[in-house]
Amino acid sequence: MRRPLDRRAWAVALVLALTHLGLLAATLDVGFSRDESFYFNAAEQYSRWFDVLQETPGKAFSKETVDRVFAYNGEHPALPKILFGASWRLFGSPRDPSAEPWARSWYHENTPPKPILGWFRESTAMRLPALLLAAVLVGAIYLFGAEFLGHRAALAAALLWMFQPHAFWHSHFACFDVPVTAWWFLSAWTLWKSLPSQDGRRRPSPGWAIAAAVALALALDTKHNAFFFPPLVLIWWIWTRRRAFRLVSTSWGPRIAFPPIPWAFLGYLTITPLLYWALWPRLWHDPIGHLKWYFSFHARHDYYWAYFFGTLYTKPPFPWSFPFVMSAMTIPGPTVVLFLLGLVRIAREGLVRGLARVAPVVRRVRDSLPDREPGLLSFLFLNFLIPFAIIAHPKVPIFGGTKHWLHGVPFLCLIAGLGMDAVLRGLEGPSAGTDAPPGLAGSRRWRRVAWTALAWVLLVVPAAWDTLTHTADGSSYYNAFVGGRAVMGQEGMQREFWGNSAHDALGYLNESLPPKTRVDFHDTTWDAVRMYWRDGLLRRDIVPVWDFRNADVFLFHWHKEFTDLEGDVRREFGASGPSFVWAPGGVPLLDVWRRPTGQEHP
Amino acid sequence: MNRPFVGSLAVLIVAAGYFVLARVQEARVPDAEEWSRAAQEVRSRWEADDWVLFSPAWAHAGAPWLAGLPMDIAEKTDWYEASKHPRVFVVASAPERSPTPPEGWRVLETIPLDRVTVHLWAPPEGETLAWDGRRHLEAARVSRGLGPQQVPCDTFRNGRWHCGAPHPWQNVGLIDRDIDGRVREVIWAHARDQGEPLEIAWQDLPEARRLTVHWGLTQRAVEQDTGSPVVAEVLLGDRVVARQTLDIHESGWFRHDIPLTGHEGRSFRIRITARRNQDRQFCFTADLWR
Repeated sequence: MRRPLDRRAWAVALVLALTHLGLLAATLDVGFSRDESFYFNAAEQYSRWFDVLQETPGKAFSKETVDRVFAYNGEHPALPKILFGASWRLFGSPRDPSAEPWARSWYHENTPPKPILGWFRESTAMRLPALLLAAVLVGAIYLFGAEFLGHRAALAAALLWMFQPHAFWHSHFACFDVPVTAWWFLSAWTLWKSLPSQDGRRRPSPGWAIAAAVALALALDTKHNAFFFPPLVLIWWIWTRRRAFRLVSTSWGPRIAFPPIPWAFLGYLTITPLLYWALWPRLWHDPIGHLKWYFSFHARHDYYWAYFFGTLYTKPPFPWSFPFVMSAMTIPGPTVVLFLLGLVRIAREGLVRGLARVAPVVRRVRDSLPDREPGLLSFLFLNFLIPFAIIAHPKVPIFGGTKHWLHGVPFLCLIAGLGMDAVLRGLEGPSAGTDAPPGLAGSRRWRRVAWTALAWVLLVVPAAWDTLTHTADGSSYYNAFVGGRAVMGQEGMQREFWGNSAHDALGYLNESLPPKTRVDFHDTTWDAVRMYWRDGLLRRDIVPVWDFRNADVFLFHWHKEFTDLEGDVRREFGASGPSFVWAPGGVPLLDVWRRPTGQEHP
Repeated sequence: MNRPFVGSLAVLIVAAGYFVLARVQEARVPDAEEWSRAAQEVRSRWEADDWVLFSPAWAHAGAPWLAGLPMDIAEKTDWYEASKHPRVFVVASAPERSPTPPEGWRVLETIPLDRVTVHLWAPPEGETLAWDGRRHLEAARVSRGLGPQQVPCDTFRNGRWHCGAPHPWQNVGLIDRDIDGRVREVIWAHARDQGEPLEIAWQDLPEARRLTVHWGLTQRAVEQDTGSPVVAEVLLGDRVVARQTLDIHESGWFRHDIPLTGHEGRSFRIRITARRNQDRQFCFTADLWR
């Protein structure tokens, strides 16, 4: 049954969101991955548009300005990078070139902007919009759940999403994966709110329909995987309204009768494309040309490597099981168990409701089921399944660990929330009853409270522990059921997510390298290195090179596809072994190689 | 107790078990102090030509404490290569802290520490490495073609033999490449095109009882759909004593043991042929055992 959101629900959502933001803010020491570093660069370049807008507003919208300012990284929509750049300009504390002239080269066109508020270090300011969206998402998961699945399921879903090492780690980045997850979820929520319920208890809402159209535009303006949302909605809508499609005879002859078209669909056809266009400057002057290039870029995306059970996948066919198995391995164990329980509950409810239509004997069982809006569970299930199913297609690239189906995971958590609800209901069983004497009833109540508290602790604390002890290496997390991090070595699984592990060697580099040492940062990009400088995390005299033959130190990021390179470096340097190994959980993620000086022994 | 209660209780027990399991897994990981103690144990027993490897092979987080000692940090252990050393230290941590020695290997000492165990093992007795082709590459004669068309590849530059002007990959030289699941030190002998044989020959070798050749295609090669199968042969004189066709996606580090009698093995040749050579990154090692 739908429970309208009251003040308590909003308060809980706010507390959850602020807690999540607080946890993210307290764990910002996460290395810059390759893609984030590119978006740092893009954000910096795009932020110049605000200067043009301020100085010569008439030119800001010209093709020349757009082509110049937004030229870089056109393969992704501009909105997130515009937000990262705006946040950086407003809150970031760029270096002062008069005090540190050498810092000029760390900025686009050698010109660091003047700080405005200067509250945060630069990478944090860039990350702020994504951090806020991640926090909003937690609140939104709770609110959606509280309204349509019940408070307990909602709270469980929000907490289980918060405490996922991979998702939590991705939530730190000035990237698109968690923002698009948030917008996808908000698209689903607002759409659901805009629809009339099939049992007639909720009327269509044009206001929520407008919100749904806006949310979808923002999702599309964040990342291309949002393009799969409208087909998903259409499939679900046709399926759940299939009985309303019928042939009727009129005086004009037979025609097909349709169910009422949702307001949101009209919004998708009008507001969404307009807003999508308006928020992506590259579309202003050449929408067709740029979109053609954009779609062809993603349709022919390079296949990067993925290491999965000892096989280095480089080209199709990729294993269809990849997203499912990876999720089962990289989501905390109790959450996986609750999800499976929730899935069984969904299947049972669907089966019982279906059978009850044809078998009256089942109706009594149906009447004992929770009162839910028709179509809700299938809506949740499809929103979970479709993002996974897309990556499961053998021709879709599977690089990037688990981030490419992250937008399905909040729905997985809502289903896990149903599992949690089932567990709590089960524990209530023996202590329920109204005919007990007052003393006994009180004791039963306390017993129930104790069981409930124990359930929350046992089902949420392990996930929280796993998450908060894997903040720096969240993408290398594997749950204890599969052996923990050791499974990466034992079974041959992907260990690291492109270039971020250098962050955990910076302390070693800063402390142990002689002045002006030449360091080959391997998979860490120039854009990441200059942000490390700008944030004061890397000694400025260290000379980055991307040529180990010309370097004295090499940072080997452990990827299966790079192991030849480690062999080449070892031979070139004549070193017996790495001088520093970053190995959380005992599994090497980064080996630092140095040309031997005779003083290697730590 | 009703059924839903028992079901819920089971879920809680599983969750509690999970939490304990995760903590146990974390607690088994050695810290800096443990690695340091293990390294001290190794260094205090070190003798010339010893070798260090890790168990499990990928768990080389302790490598920095063993700096300066020859060690293997590849993803999986190559016991054949290990057997070339008189003694091997196996620095073992969870989840393979008590590895079983390969057949014929002898346990010399076991030093248990808190979270690391240092094992000292020796390879089977009775065989000694007489010659390793990788250490005698400069003495090899490399050629392309056969019979009257045979052309010597006699440009030796930076440890590599080239047929004429130095070429970035069409050469024969020492390299480390990922083959069959681990990086190996091998002799790179990229196949030539259009069926032209590439030969690497050695002469005046020490007497031995067995010639052992390993060969295979690199990981990069087996990933590609390009080129054609590679035919590899070992010749004693004009007699082919080992021959294998490696399909383009065939992953493996294939061992061929060739027993030698009398003066056999004092010279031998490795011949590599491919109809189309794109990405046919063939590599091998050759050892004489007495």
